Amino acid sequence: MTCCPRLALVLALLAWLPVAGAAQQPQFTAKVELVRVDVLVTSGGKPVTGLGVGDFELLDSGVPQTVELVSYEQLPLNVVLALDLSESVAGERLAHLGAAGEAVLDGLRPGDQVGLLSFSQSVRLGARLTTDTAAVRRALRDPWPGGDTSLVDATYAAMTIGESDVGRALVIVFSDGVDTSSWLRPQAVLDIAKRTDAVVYGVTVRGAAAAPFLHDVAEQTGGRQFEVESTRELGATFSRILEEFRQRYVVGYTPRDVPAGGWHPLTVRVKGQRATVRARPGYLAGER
Amino acid sequence: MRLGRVLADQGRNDAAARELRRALGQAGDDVVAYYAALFLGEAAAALGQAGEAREAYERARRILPAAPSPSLGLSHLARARGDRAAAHRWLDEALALAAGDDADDPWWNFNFSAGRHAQRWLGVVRAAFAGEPSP
Repeated sequence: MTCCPRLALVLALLAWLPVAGAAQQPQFTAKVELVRVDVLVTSGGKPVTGLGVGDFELLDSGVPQTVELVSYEQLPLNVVLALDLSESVAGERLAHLGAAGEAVLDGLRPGDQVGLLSFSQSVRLGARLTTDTAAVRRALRDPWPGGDTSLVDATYAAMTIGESDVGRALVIVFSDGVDTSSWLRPQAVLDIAKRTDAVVYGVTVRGAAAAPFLHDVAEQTGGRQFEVESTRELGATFSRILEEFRQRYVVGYTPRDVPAGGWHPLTVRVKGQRATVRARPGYLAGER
Repeated sequence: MRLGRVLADQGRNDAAARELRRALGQAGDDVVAYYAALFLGEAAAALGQAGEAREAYERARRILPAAPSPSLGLSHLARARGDRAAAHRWLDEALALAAGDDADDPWWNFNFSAGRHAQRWLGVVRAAFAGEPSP
């Protein structure tokens, strides 16, 4: 089966990954196709920690599955920043956005990678995925604002870069307006969002024209959309997103008794707790 | 070509593809041929005709090699069929093209590109009024 949340690359990592709540490390053969789901569990607005494989109940297409792996804060991150540098982002807003990017860099840990994209009418690569935060910091200080807004193209590019290496992909997209110049249509990229492992968080400014795409892609990938009152809040918001993403569990299972292709709705619950669970609503498997 | 695009905007991709194939065969200049090939790539992809979509995007890429949109379309096609490596390669190409100081893509001007010959047409009108040969 050709699909997205199937992590061929991550299998190598799983070989050494400590498993929370499991007495022994699970053994996988090379042929196993594991589905990974990023899950945020909160109670009273605060993350619930210390959960293990026995604490999760997971249904794929309505069929209960055996959770084989739960990890917490173990896998390195691939953080991709996609920042709107269209005409409307200039002066003070631009300075706030740069500072927010630097706040993310300050929050990275050894082994984490970061990539940088900026977008106006075109999408520009500031930095490929790298552990060299100094290089990304330099790129952040060399912005190039002006032009229209290719939000959809940039989100696609950020997801593709995020999943291009082993690790958990976090995509943070900031935009203060609506898309005006993307080549890819929103629905085409939402279709890819159903196949990707990347989790997208969108950040917008209150009062700016709404961008339903950003909300939709965040929902589709199990992420969230934040709306700030002012760009002064961007630094704190970006840091909060990074912190929240670290506090998510990675839940893995091998699908059984479900069709190989098509849309797989997912339900994730925590047994015996009144917790709020946030995860992707499903995934698309097989070729288009 | 514009009719094809409108049909595609309406989700009538079958009719759009027919118009765009015809437009591609009749295109008088590179920009019109580029638009027709680019739009055909998208319409064919929406119809699940990946082979024709790939050919159309590659044709657009050959017509205007500096424009990033065809490479982005090829990246999306590859990702939709589950080929992450190819998706990443095509995306790399699109990003490289967009990075140049002279980066240009007629797609960015599509909504007002019908006026791109205005200066030449005005020159023809002025020449006619002045009784001079058409430029």
